[in-house]
Amino acid sequence: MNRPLQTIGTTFISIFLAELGDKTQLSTLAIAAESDHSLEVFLGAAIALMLTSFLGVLAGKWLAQHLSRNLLDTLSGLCFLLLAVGLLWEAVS
Amino acid sequence: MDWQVVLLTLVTVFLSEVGDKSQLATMSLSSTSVSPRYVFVGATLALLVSSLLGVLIGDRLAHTLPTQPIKMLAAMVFALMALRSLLPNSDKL
Repeated sequence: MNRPLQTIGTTFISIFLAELGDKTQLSTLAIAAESDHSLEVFLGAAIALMLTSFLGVLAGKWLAQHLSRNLLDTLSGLCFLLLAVGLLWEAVS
Repeated sequence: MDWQVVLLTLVTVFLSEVGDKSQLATMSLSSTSVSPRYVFVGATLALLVSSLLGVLIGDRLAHTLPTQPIKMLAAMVFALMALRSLLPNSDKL
């Protein structure tokens, strides 16, 4: 899958679904409700989230340069499996 | 502009996101993708939209949002990606 829109779309859908109702969204919501400064809260959250996903991408690039393709596929597969199990656990508990 | 609120939100959201599942997913996606920058674009957009929802909608809708089926759906998306990464000769992201 090398088309930009496909990569952006896949990433968007998986991250968006994982984030809905997650603790980050809930804490953003709580601060917004409490402080009455919606714009500032959104600005702060936006900068923080950009930073963390940038760090995530950097870490991924670093791993891609230092580990073999097969090992990476196995590791990211296990990662996704872990995320799937974690989300299922959250959904049923 | 109340910069104190911006900073407070930035630190709170940053700390709750570091090592969290969306960063883990971003890392996995970018390590196996040929174009990590598009993973960054997709992840950032998803996080921006989800925090915008958190700020705008407020706690009323957050409580009625069907988080359980959404989490199940996200779990299935990640399980699918796990299969794609773990099974040999499957399409790569």
